[in-house]
Amino acid sequence: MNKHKKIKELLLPYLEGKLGEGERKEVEEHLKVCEECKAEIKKYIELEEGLKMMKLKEPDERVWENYWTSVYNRLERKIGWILFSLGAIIVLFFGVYQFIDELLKDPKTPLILKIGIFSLSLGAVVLFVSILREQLFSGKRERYKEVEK
Amino acid sequence: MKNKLENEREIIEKLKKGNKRAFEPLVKFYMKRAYNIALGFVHNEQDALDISQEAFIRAFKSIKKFDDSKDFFPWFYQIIRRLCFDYTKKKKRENISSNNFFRIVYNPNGNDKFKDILSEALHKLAPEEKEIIILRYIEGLSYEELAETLNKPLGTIMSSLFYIKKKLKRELEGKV
Repeated sequence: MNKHKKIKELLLPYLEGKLGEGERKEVEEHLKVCEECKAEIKKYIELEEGLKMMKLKEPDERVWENYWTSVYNRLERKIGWILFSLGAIIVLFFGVYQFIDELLKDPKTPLILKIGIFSLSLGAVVLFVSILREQLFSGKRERYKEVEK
Repeated sequence: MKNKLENEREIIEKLKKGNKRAFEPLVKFYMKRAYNIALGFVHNEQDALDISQEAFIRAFKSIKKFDDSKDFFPWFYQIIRRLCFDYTKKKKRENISSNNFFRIVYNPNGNDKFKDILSEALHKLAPEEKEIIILRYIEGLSYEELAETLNKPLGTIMSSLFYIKKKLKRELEGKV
């Protein structure tokens, strides 16, 4: 690699102050005599200034004012949903259990209906256990669980 | 610009005990950074806002696994990053609107074209390249902090940044 090419590669680290004393002097000496590298470094300086003055489009200030409240509400809502779902499952199961129990104990209920209810209940339990097991299993492999450090 | 909250450790201890309210200063300190990072990936203001908030919720839920001896931000950053990648994967098949959200407020020699072309060149960068540019120039992270956050060697970060700048310079050449 000739010297000009080598210096050209060093222009960015030079601007960032990442060169050692020797290379820094070498670049400075070269810049005194090379118009192409001088123009090149000028472009990098302009680019650097442009990047330093870069902004991203920001949402309205009110969004920031409400940001924490929104996060807090979402956090609370998630906990609320978990409790609600748990409560709903318990109430539902209890209600269904009471209903089936009364139907089965009633001597007027035809045998075929008792068999049907028994089969329906057993199927529901099997499905529930299966879904629960699947959820617990996928929970163990949940992507964000590996974010530990 | 401050890159870390002073009483971060104390806050995290409280969070580990389940104190949701203690999360407030941490969220307020990192919210804009979280939003900017998400925006760099998803190109959509509303989705960036949603993702950044979801990242905080996930961080709270898994805070017990956080290693107290480390800084919060690099750990939190991985959560946002994963959410963003999931989002972009999910939206890949859909035709999502891609707004240019870069604004350049620098105008050398009164040259308006410079701002537009640089903004367009930034918009065209790959997500991983935008990620480095945003963390470096919007969030003001040092090379060392960038390496820690992105979990890459310092040399890789430096060469990536040099490569991106060369790419941007090429885009500007002949157009400005």
